Amino acid sequence: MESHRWNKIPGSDDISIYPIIRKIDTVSSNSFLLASDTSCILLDPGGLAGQTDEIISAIRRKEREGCMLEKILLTHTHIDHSFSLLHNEELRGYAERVYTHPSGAEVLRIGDTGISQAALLGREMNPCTIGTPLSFETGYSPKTGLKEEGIPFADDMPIIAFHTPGHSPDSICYRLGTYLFIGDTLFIGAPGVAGSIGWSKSDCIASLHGLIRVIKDEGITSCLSGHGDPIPASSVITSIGRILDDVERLDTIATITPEWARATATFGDDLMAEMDKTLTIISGRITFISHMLEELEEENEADRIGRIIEIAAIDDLLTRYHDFSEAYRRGEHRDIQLAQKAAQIAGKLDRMIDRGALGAIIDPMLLEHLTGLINDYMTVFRGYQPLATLTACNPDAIFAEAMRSFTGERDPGRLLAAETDEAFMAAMIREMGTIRVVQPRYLTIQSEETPPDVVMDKQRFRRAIQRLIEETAASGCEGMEIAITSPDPRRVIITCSPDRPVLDEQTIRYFKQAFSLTGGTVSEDKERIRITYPS
Amino acid sequence: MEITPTEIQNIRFLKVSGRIDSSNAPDAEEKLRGYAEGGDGPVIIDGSELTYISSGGLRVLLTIEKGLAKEDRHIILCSLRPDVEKIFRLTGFSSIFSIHPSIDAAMAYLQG
Repeated sequence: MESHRWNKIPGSDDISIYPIIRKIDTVSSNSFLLASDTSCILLDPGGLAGQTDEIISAIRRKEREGCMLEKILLTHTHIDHSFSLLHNEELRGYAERVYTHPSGAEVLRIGDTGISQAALLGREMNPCTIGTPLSFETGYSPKTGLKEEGIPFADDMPIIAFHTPGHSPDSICYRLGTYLFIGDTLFIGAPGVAGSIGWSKSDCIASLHGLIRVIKDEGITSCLSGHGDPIPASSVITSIGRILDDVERLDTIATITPEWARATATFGDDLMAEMDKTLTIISGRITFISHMLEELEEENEADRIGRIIEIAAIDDLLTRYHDFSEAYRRGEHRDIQLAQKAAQIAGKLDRMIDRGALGAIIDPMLLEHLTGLINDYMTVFRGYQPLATLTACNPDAIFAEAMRSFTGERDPGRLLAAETDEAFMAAMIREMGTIRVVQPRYLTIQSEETPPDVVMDKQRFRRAIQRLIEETAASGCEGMEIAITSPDPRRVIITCSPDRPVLDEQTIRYFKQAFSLTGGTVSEDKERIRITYPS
Repeated sequence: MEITPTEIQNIRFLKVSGRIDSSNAPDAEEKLRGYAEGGDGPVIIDGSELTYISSGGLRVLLTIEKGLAKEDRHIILCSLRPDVEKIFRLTGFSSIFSIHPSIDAAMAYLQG
């Protein structure tokens, strides 16, 4: 099936389809025109002016051949599928001939910016009363378990509408011959989509089971998604199986509101800045080691190390995120789009990092930090909160452990103990990959003689404090004072004061989040970070 | 990213502004190489307006430095912003390049 041209539909001599297939985004859906000899149907007008122009031009050409636009079908009323219907005067003129679920008709009539996702995507609703809501009066089909309704089209090939709520209350899939138009079915379990206003886990599960039966029992060969390319029916059955597993696991996820999108975008942006720094350090260290090996005329080993990480591809992803984020700041993208972009880039970066190979060279703390950043963001983007594993622990011991990781004696043992050339080379590379920026007496710890244990996530705290120490030391601080006080038996306050204010606003925000996730309550300014824990 | 040659007390500096990342690293390399080949002595980079350098950018500087080192010439970096200098420190690159806090400090270093 070719996009932007008329294609014959299998099983019919006089029905053709004109698909407008777009890349997957939240701006506009695909659109489809269906035509018999005498009548034409538009399925999902989408949300882009250029797309609307193409649709109208195709409709006019058909009209000149005596084939009139009779119906507009909506797979659902999300704004990326319905915007052009609401805002293009010519398409609004067909409002009497728009088919959707009664709940969708209500969304359009009152201009519901929540269920339509217009508020989330920053688009306006121009309320519209449509003429032909589908009633689905005949109830559930015993065959599919879905409510069905026939829509007259060509004599030999009617359209069957299946009510498939879950993604939204008004979601409908349409069958025409062996084609099934599945709207956003394939995205209903996706992070950043599941949990949107009107989303229902139980409805998703019931609809997905029903759709599997439709595809299997009604001889469907191809599924035409609301976004992206058409997909063979067999692949869709496999995908729906996976989506069912995903949806079954989704419990108590956050509702995707504009406020959630704003908070997630900010969290993602701060974590991406931290990922950028961390990956630049990792890639830079690999380049540094490779250079040192070249200096030692170990060209083969230099080449091997240089290829352990795809520096150019990682750089490219980070640049793409930066450019998108800058466009967001100029108002060209919405919060939800930045949140989605951060997830997309973080996922790609995650897949590109060979932790096994890097772990033999690079400070494991850096890789642990990177993994933590990616996991935390993906957790939040999926609609959950990152977990803090709270235990009682001694803060003095954690600070001592953190400092040892920076200033512990170098281990000449590994070099001296190496009995083969390979072992010696590996030990030397490990030494080169250990860059020391923190002086042994960097921390001054002031605590009561026997400070009480605090209840915190020890691993997260160690990671956050290590990053704070390294960040401030590498930014030119010569020391940091840590005060551990216990104003009453139930609280312990840890105050971290670098000897000069070196952290920028975004970095401070990152550390505030990082320490919050350790189980403490954080207050901060440019001079210090103060975390209060229960003891 | 912009690279602008300036001259202070008969010493030429290159002021690098903006970001060096994957979108302009090849351009930065070409310009820096052109400048390096068109003169003698050290290539002094004023980084006071360099807001970001990616690992690809670090690699560009390293490539130029290697070329210069064959002629016993070097890159000298000065006035790096704290965020950028931090990356040099954390990657080990501060041990490859001569880094100075200001143009004056770089000139004092050059004058011995």
